[in-house]
Amino acid sequence: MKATHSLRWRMQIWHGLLLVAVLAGLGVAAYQHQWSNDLRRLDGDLNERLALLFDALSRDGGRPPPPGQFPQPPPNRPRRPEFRLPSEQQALFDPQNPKSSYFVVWRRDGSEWARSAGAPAEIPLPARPPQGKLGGLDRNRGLLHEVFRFTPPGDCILVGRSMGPEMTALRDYAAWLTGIASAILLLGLGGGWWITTRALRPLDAITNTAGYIAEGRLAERIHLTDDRGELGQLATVLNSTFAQLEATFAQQAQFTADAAHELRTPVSVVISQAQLGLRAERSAEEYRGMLDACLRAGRRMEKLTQSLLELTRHDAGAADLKSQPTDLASLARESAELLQPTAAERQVRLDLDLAPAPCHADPDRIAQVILNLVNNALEYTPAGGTITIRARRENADAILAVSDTGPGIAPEDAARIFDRFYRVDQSRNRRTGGAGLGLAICQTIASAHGGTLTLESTVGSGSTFTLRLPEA
Amino acid sequence: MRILIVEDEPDILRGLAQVLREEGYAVDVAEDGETGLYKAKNTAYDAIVLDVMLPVLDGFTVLKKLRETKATPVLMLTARAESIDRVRGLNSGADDYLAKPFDLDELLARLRALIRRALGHSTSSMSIGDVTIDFAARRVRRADAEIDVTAREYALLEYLAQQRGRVVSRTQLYEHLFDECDDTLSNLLDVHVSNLRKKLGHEFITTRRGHGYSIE
Repeated sequence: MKATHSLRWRMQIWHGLLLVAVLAGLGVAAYQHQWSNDLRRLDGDLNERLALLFDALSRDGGRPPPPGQFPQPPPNRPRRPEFRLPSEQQALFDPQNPKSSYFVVWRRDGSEWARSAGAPAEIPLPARPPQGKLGGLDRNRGLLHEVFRFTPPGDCILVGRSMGPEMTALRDYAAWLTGIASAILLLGLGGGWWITTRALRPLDAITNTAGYIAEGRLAERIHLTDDRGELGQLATVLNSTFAQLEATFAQQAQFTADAAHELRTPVSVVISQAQLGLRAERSAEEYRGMLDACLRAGRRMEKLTQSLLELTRHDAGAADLKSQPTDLASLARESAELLQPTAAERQVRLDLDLAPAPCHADPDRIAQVILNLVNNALEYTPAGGTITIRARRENADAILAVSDTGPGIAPEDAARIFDRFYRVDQSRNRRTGGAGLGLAICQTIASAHGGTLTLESTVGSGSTFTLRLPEA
Repeated sequence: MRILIVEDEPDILRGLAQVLREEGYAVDVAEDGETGLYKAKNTAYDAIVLDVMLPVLDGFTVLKKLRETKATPVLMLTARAESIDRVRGLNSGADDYLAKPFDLDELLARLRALIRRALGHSTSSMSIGDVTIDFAARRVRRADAEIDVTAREYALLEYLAQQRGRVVSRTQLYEHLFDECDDTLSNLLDVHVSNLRKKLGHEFITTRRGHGYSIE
């Protein structure tokens, strides 16, 4: 299987991509947040100093700044009060401090009034903003961040500082974020792999078992340690499908074996009679006897194949039925008329209790069922007994029941009586000639019509077979 | 040799009985398990051909009940060729097993082997003086010349030869050579013995007066 087609790989890739997107989003947000925090802190810092300077300027005059730190304005300038900064505040602008700020003060006319020692050489005078707004102004020049304000008289104070330390911290922060994100990503991918592997493990079991089934090992089943969850349900459904498949195959194999077995006896007759005939010269009468035996065997095989064909045909369903509006009562009457002579011969009374029972069915097939049921009843009912055929309508169903006063059928036989090739008395076949398919055929005909054929029997008092067909 | 066939399919039963009679066996038949068991218990058969599916008592039951008293060799016949049935048949005391549809010649060969084994012979021929009996081909030779014997004569010769060295009573001979359908006239046996003596030499079969016959 190619990696791109593997469910596990696709899940892993999507999961990885999603994780990367989430982590990247979070990382960028955290970075931004940190950066804006840094900037705000820097702004606050600078603005604080700006306020101090502003205060110092507003107090007007004061001590001149020490030489070197606050250079004197050029002598050609008209004298203005000296800019003085209290010495404790001068430490704030100590150039030795890596986070040191610098300041520049311009007079109203744009000439520089004072500047701190650490101030860069070239600092352009900020443009005066539109009137009214004097403070809260800032600008970035390269790595330098500067805040400035204009005094009401028109002087300008600017405090600035390099953002270098913040940038460095931010880079470290970004590196730290990347490291954390990578660790989370790896953990996520590993966990994802583990989870998908665990989640897909039942699929492997299912695939293996399905493979065995395809190879014909029908007894194989999917064994999951946990049969809850979607795949567990799938496995349960598949297992029951496999079980049904196996049962069907077994049934088919049994049916074939039974059919073959049924054929063996007549084939034995044909072979042994033919071999007997070929062993020596025989009289015409002897040959006739052998041919008779072969013919009987042939007829038996013919009957058997006919039954097998019929079963197969009805197994296919209703497709073959020539259904039309039919009355079970009239079919029962016809069947009773046909069998009346046999019944009389066996001294069995044939009672009819027929009310109209309309249904939609193939009359030939249903007549076959009725004849078969009555014939069976005749077979098992002793002389002096009674067979009753009833027809009636019940709810929307058409009902036909054949009851006899025979010996009844034991529950263990009753449970299997509709099975193919099942005979209540295993040895009766030779005399009655049946292969144990009659009732099986009746039942397939009934189900092909969407109806049922059931048996109620009490040992000692008789049996009742009930055919129930839906109205339409 | 007397054989019982228990089989409920009339056409198979008739065919088997006929071919076995033609082979010189005395054949009794039974169409259901109960009759078969009764006959098997009350007659000294040399072998029994027993079908599995029988009315009243099935073949396995017949075999089990028979084995309580008798060790008669039994060849089981069945339409079920599944090995489970073979195993079951052999386990319940069958001596051999044949699935339907069977080949008549194979059935005859197995039956012969069964009887031979039961009598303790493992070879299929026997030489007595200058007479050689080939049990498989059912032929008799005397000094390299083929001797023509009837089926009954052969059966008598075979039975005496199998019991070689022992005195076989007339009753025993009647029991093993004639089936329930035969009209056992008392001099019939003497006719066959006399015919065999003519063909194989007068001394071949000795008569023990009051006891029976034997081949030394």
